[in-house]
Amino acid sequence: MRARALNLKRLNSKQLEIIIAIFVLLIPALAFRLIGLNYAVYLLVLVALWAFLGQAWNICYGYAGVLSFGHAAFFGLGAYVSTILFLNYGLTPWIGMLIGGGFAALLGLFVGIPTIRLRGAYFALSTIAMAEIVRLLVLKLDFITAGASGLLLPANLSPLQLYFKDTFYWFLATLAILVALLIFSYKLEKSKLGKALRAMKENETAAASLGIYPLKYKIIALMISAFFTGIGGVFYAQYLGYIRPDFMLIPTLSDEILIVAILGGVGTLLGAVVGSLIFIVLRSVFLGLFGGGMMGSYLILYGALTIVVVMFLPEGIYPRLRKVVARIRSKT
Amino acid sequence: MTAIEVLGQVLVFGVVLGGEYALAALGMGIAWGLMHVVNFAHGEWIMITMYTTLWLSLIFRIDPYLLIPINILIGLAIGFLSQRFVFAPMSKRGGGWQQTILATFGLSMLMTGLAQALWGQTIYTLPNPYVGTYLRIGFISIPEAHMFGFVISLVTILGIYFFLKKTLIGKAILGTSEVMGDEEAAKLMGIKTSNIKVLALGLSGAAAGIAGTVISTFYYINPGVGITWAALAFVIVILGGLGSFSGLFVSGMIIGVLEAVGNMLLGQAYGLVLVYAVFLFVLYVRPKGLKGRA
Repeated sequence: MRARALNLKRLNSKQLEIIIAIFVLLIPALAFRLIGLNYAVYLLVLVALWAFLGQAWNICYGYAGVLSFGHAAFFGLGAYVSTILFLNYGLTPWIGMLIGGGFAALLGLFVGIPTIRLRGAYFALSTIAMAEIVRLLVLKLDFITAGASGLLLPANLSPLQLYFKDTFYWFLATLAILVALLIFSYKLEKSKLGKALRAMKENETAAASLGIYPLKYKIIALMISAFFTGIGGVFYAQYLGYIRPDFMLIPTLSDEILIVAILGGVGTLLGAVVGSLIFIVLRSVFLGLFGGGMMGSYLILYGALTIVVVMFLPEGIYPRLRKVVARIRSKT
Repeated sequence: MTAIEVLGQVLVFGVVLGGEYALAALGMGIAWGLMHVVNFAHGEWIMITMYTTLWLSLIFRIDPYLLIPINILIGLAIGFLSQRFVFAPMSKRGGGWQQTILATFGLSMLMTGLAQALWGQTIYTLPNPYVGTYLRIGFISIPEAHMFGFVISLVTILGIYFFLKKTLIGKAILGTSEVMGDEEAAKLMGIKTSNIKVLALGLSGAAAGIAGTVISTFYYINPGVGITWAALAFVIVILGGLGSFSGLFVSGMIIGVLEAVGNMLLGQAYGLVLVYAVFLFVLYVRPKGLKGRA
């Protein structure tokens, strides 16, 4: 057993890539921590978390072809459920995040049942309606959610309540959930469900004729994706220490998740990691250059990125990267 | 006021508002129903012309409604350019509907960001002579801005309808459209379909320009308003059914009445929740809309 675990040659290329991705994030984080560059560690926390969210989105669009513009609803719902359970009943967010993710998955189910059979753009649009309903309800049901002013977590939480004083530990925690999701996705790709999803995405009619009931699989993919997105929301809420509808539930958040995924490459295992790395770096450079006075103008970056990727790099950066690496390998 | 008077007031206001909503959705209906471009940036096209109405009417001190021709030209230009340089190259590369949606989505973010960079987050309202003045018919009173908006909306929708049905260019657009015509057949008849698509998106932009002028007289102006109007337009276009002008007008009014009644019964902002909930319900029971052909 032990020899097998250490033998890199017995890993297949995807397993190897996951391990490389871990080190690509971990080594710089360690280095930045040692030289005390906390801001860079903070950026890497965001990279890991956004990669997590991008990959969660990828499960429904990349694997099942279900295009969602409303993932902020799942993100915000997970965060709100966990935070409310914690504030009112003292339930630790470690368990709360599973319940929050569960609520997000249920929302996916409720929205999916009536709308997922819709073809083309209709489903994508109904996800926007869903996100708006959730946002307006959170604003309106202020006796539980405190409306626009949001909920504040108490100071001095312990790691048992999912809070770390050191940014580096936050990085390790987000990296851990990212790796867990990557392993889950890897298993999913190889599972019967994953193969059914792939067959369905290639040719829905042919898959249906083989007994793959597309609606069921699409809803399952949406629920899985919603579950993980909800967990991501809990992590972000715990990291910030407070939640408010105007940054947990807004369309901009759905946009960011989507950009990370398409930038890296949809339907790939590590696309979201590559996409997130590039996205977070670009965003912080952009904010550094134009920040402050030009509030919200980072949307210029988001819009330009989306258009450029869709027009010139529709398959995403990660597959390109793989091709380049393969070419270098074949030469040496 | 008696309950009946209140109800009558709310219903009439809902219908008038709904007429304006139909105008906001008209451009999207043209782009989507005729050219299969699901345009997320439609709300931003409206937003841009709301700003041009604001600045031009403040600088030159002219009535906002007189700016309609200028806003039509601005809308036309935006529509032309978007189709020529973004949407057309995309469909040439063989991108499916997802790619087109994502591109219009990117365009929407880009335009919102540019508006924020240029004009900041300030919320403007357009000072105009039609605010606070009412038309009274019996016990019902309607703000003048909305009444004019309703009339302009009716004229625009009828105008575009007859333009498409009666003129040669309009017939070419309908012939090229995927819902009512056949692009291949249109090509064989000697119609240059790529130019026709540019024209159709221009028409969609022009409708957005008129809508922007009308909306700016009663709604606040801010870089973020696009999404509100795009979401409403999506609901109305789907509810009305792709490619149907009468469906568009009727569904606009249904949405207007729903929002007005919802706001009255459930309190402000719940009206929109009701609208979205009904929208999801309609998608479930009648995914092709009231009069859909797609």
